[in-house]
Amino acid sequence: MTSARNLWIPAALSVALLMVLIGLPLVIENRYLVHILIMTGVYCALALSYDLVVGHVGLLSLAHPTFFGVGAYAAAILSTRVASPFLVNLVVAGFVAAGLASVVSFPFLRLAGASFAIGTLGFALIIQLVANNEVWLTGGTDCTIGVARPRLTLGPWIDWRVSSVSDYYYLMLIILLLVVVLCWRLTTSRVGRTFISIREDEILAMASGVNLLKYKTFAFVVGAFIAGSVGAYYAHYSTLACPEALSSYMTIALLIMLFVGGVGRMRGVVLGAIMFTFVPEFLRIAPTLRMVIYGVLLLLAIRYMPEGLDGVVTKWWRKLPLARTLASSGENNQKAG
Amino acid sequence: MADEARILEINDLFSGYGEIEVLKGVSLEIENGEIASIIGANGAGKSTLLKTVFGLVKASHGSVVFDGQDIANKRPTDILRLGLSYVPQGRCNFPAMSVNDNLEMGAYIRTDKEVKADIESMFERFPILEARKEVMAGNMSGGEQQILEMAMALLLHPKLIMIDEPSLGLAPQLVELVFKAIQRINADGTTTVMVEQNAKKALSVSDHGIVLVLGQIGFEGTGEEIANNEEVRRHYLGG
Repeated sequence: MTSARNLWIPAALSVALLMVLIGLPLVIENRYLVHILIMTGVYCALALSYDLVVGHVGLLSLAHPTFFGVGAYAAAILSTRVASPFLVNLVVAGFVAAGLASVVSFPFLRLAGASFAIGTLGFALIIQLVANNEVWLTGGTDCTIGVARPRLTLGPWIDWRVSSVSDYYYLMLIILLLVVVLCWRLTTSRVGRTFISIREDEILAMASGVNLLKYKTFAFVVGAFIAGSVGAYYAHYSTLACPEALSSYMTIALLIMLFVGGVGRMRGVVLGAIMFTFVPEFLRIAPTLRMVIYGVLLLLAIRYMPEGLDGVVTKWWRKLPLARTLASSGENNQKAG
Repeated sequence: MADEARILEINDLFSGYGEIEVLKGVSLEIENGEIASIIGANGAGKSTLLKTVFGLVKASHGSVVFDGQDIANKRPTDILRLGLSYVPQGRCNFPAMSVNDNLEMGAYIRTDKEVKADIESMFERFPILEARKEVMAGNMSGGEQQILEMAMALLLHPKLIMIDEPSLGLAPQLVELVFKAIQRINADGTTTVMVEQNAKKALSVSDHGIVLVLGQIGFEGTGEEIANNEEVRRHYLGG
C-alpha cells in the first residue's frame, strides 16, 4: 500500500511532466517535430486502449486499428457530407466504432484463444475491402478528403479554431489526458481487478463469480470507443480518411509497442508508444531495413525484457538510493499503521 | 420439502464432453456437516462430477438438488450465490495479483460492507497472509498459496465447499497442514466434499467415502468402511 506521505513524489512528477508537455510546442520551432509529437500522442492513446483488450483482459484482438479506421471514416463522412462539428464527430465516431465492436463481439467472444485472433483478423480484412471498394461511401482509394478543421466553441467564452500544428498538439494532449485518466480509473478499480483475473485464469475467474462475457465485451467495446474517437481526431488532423488507416501494418506496430513497452502496464505502453513513433523516424534513412529492425527488436525484447521496457526501468529505479528510502519509509508506515 | 439433513442430492446424473459421456448415472447424497471424499482411478469422472455440480460441465440428464433447489445446469455464479463454493484443481489463485487482491476476488460476488472486515479477520486467522499482503500470490510457496486459496473460498461463508485435489503437488508436511485446515473449515460448519488422489489420507479424515468407477458409484460407505473394504484397498489404496 502506498502511504499518503510518499504519494507526493509521483504527483509532483506528473505535474512536472504535464508542464513540460504544455511547454514543448513553445520551444520546438520545427513543425515537423511537433507533427511527430502529435503522432506519438495518437499512438499513445491507441496503444493504451489496445492494452485494455490485450494487456488487461488478455484478448488478442487483431482488429483494433479497424476501429481507429472506422472512427476516422465516420468523422470524415460526417464532416464532409453534413458538416457536423468536431466534438459531435468525435463522440459519434466513438459510438460507431463501439457499436460495431459490440455487434462483432457477439460471435467473436464465443471463440477461444487463437480462433478469436483469426476471427478479428478476418473482420479487419473485410472492413479494409469495404474501405477500398465501396466508393460511394468511403471514396475508395481516392480517400474521403476535405475534412474540416476543428472549431471548438463554448458559449461566448471560448471560440477555438484549431489550425496550426501546435493547436492540434494541444487538442491531442487534451484527448490523451482524457484517455489516460479513463484507462487509469478503469484499471485501478474493481473493474480492472476483474479484467486481470480474466487474463490470469478464466476458469478461476468464473468460479469466483465473474461474468466473463460481460467484462470481455466491456473491454472490447470501450477499447473500440477510444480507438474510434482517436480515429476521428486523426481524420480532422490529416483532413482525410484513407484505407491505409485500416492497414494491418498498424496492428503490428501496436503489438510491438505493447510487448516491447510492457504489456498490461500503462507506463510501459506509453514508453513503447513513444519509442516506436520516434524509432521509425530515425529509420527513414534505411526504409527497406525497417521491418527487419522491428523484428530483431521484438525478439530481443521478448528474450531479454520479458516485462518490457517498464520492467527494466522499474528495476533501475529500485536500485536508486531515493527509491530505497521511499520504500523503507513506506514499510515503516505500514508497520505503524 | 427438502430434507434438512441432506445438503446435496444428486440423482441419476449424466454428463460429459461432446460425444464422450463421463458420468453415467451417478446418484449421491451428502449430509449436512460431513466431510465426504470422492476417490477413484484416473478418468473415473471425479473432477467431472464436481464440475457438473458447479455448472461448468453441462448435465445431459438427472438432477442436482442443493439446499432444496435444483441447480443442474445453472450458471456457476448463481450456484455460488446459493452458498456452494468450488476450488478447482491445481493452482487456483491469480498469481500476478497481490494476496490482498486475491482475497478481494475471493469475495467477488459479495456486495456488503463487511468484506473489508472479513478480509482483516482472515489476516488474523492466517498471519502469514497479512505479512504477504502486497506480494504477488505466484511468488509465495505452495503451502502459502494453498492457505490463501482456502481463505479466498471461506470469504463467501459457503454452506458447502467442493475441493478438487487439495494435496496435488504439495510436499508431505504441507499435505498434513492442508488436511488440518480442511478439518478446521469443516468444524466451523462448512460441509466439505473433496476429490483426492491421496485416497488413504482423504478417507482418514472423512465421514463419508465414495468410490467412482467408470462414471458410476462403485462403492460407498463411511470413510472407515471404504478404507477397510478389501476390494477398494486392492484397487485404490495400494494393498
